[in-house]
Amino acid sequence: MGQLTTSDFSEFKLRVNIKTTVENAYKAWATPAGLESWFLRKAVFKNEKGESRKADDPIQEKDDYTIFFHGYPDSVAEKGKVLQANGKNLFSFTFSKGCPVSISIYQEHNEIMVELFESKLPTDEQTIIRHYIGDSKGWIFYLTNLKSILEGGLDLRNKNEEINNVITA
Amino acid sequence: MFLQSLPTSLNVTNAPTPPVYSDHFLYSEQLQRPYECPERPSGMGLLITGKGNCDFYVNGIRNRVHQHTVLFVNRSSQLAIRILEKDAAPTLLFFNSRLPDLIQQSLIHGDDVPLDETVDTLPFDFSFLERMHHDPDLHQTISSLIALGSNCSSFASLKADIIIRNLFEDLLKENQDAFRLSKNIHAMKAATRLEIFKRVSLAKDWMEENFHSNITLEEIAALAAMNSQHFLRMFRQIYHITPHQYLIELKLKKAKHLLDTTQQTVTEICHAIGFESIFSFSVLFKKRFDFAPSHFRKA
Repeated sequence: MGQLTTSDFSEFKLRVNIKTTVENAYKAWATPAGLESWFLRKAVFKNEKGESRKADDPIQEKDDYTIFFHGYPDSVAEKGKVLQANGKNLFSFTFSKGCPVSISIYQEHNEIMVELFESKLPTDEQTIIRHYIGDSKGWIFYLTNLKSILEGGLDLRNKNEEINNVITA
Repeated sequence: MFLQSLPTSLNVTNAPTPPVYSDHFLYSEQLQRPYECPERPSGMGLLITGKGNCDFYVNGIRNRVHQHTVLFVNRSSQLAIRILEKDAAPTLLFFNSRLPDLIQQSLIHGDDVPLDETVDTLPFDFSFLERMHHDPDLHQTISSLIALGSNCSSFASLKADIIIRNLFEDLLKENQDAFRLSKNIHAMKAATRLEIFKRVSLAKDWMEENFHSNITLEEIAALAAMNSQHFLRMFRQIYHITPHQYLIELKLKKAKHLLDTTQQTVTEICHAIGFESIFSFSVLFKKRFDFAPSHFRKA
């Protein structure tokens, strides 16, 4: 499924094929409930007025977000901004080190392709080790889980708080 | 963040030396031998030990760090390390020298940090935190980074970054509060205010750790290296409350927490927080929270 296709350490692209619809794949990325179904323990998105979006409300461009991970307390929260949400097949947001992550969803050979593109990563040695490798490893697991959820409903994430140091959280 | 063994870079024959870090660094090692490193300019950092005692000399003054204590070192302070205990497990977390300024700026200006400025030269003073902190939670947070540094969990580096940023935001807010509070001290020189504030804060930390036992003003003042009347005056100037009132406040807050979260009886709680008289405890509790302890629990 995922492939690392670059010798440029400032960016990477991962693709996963999923037997689903463009609408379902988009909803998995662009609603708080969708993101919580395969990725996050809690996803809080706020519009420009600072009002929280409801679980199934579509996330919009310029929303601010705070996200929480399974296995970590609320104090471990990442904050960022939604850069693009076209309501159909394109969604992008700031992520690790504030770098943009873009999601495009399209059809290919009768399946739906979810393509993740993380870019503008600094190319110093430490960032390469920590974020180029660390982020791509993280996304590979979560994109696999996205496929699992959208195709069969099996959630591969570790939700046992007694267990840590595993790739599933 | 990288998890590394103790830095050879702090040794005299090696380069480079702090504070020129491109990122924050976490050094952690269970020593098999004594470790010494001569005095060097330090980056901003937090020093703890997971096991045994470690002596860290900051600007020539010895700070013996043991479990649950955390030593904050300001950037450019002179740091020397001398650890003679075999099996001690020192952990040194040093921050990128730009990070504190960026966070400080974002606390002041929101997210619109003017990145085009040379922020590292801005005159933010972090010296109010440079002392020993008796803070088991902070110790635990730093320890959790050790696990993340050698961890295969997804986005481990991102999570470590988040923890470090949160930890640092808390520290810098505390530094700002300390700076604000220190202005309450009626002293002409800033250096005098700083010194008095550090000493009183150290004693205040100790009170927070030991409020449940019978401690006297003389004991607390001795920790601040002051006579009791001078300490009493300084404490009141800074916090607008006497040490005794502060101790009562700590006890009552703890009692409230225990009533909220445990099944202990009111008498057990009364004794656990260091009150001898259930009557005095009940009266003070009611005065503070508008309910007697037993009614508070029912409510």
